[in-house]
Amino acid sequence: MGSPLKKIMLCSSEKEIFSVEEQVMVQHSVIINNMIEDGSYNYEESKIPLDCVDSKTLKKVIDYCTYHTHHHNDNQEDLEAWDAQFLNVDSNGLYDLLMAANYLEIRNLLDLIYRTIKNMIKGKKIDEIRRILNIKDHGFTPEEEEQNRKEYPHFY
Amino acid sequence: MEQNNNSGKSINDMLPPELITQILLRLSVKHLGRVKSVSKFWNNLISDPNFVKSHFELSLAPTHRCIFIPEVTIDHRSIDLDALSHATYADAAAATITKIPPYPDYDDYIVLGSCRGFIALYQYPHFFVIWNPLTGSHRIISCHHIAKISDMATNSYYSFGGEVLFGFGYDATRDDYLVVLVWNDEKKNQECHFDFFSLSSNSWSSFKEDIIPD
Repeated sequence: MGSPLKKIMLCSSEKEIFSVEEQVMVQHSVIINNMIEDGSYNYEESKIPLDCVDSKTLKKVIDYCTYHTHHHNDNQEDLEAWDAQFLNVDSNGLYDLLMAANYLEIRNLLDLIYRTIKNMIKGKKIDEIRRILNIKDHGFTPEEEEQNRKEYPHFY
Repeated sequence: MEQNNNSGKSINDMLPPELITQILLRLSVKHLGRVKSVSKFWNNLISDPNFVKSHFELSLAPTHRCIFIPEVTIDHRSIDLDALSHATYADAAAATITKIPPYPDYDDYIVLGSCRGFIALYQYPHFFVIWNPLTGSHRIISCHHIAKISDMATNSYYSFGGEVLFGFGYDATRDDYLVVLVWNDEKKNQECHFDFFSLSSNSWSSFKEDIIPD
């Protein structure tokens, strides 16, 4: 565990630098925790380059980690309300966040986004799922699609 | 959150297969059947044999269920303790409890064992039930044809006692669940019988051994 006052630098794909409390990232990101632990991060010079995370997404990720570090004693309901508000973004924003959380190995954020997308699908009809997730090319042949629709009309 | 972003890209273009798999793994078996038809790509992901195993492991891990087996009624229930603690009383009663469908002619189940989330029950006199307490689904396995069981029924034996050895287990090499019975035939010089029921082939097989194993 790093000292709470130390800061580390994260660099987005646009080369924008974000300075974050070390402890915030160490607690949440497996990758950053490993970097600090094995000494590969140099506090004087290093910036952690996150070439596949844009500034907008990185800012959100830092917000999430910061909030959860400082509010982990809040009651479950309040945290869930905050999470729901935090993920109130369009679907592309959600996918970007998921990719970033996966890259940085932020397990609680990953799980939160998986569950959120799952809940967008759960109990919905197929046409509705395709619309919500923008699946225009479903990849079935017209015959397969027709067969499925005939066999399970209540799914569509 | 309801997104209807027409300018957005398809989830299949935005996310790599392993992340889509992680989302699909979180759906219940009930929903997976439908979701398979959303896209060919998803169908392939869900049809992968590794998916089934991961789905099983993920869906078992986080549940805290409690099984109630009252002595005098057929009211066997499984209760989801997690859901119970988050729900109002009325919700909990409706949503978290699964029951074995009662068979009014019979008054008693004997619990024989459990394996990977399934519970094996014996319903005197003639059948086994493999019950999934999570979904409430169950499978009835008839065992009329086994001579020892018929004898026991005729002689009103209500339990196996030491007469029949029973086992319920999972065969990982064949991805199959087996019910196993072992018993001696007193009428035929203590001939030792092994009967196996395979859940995947839905059939019994048996063999005899003249020498009783130690």
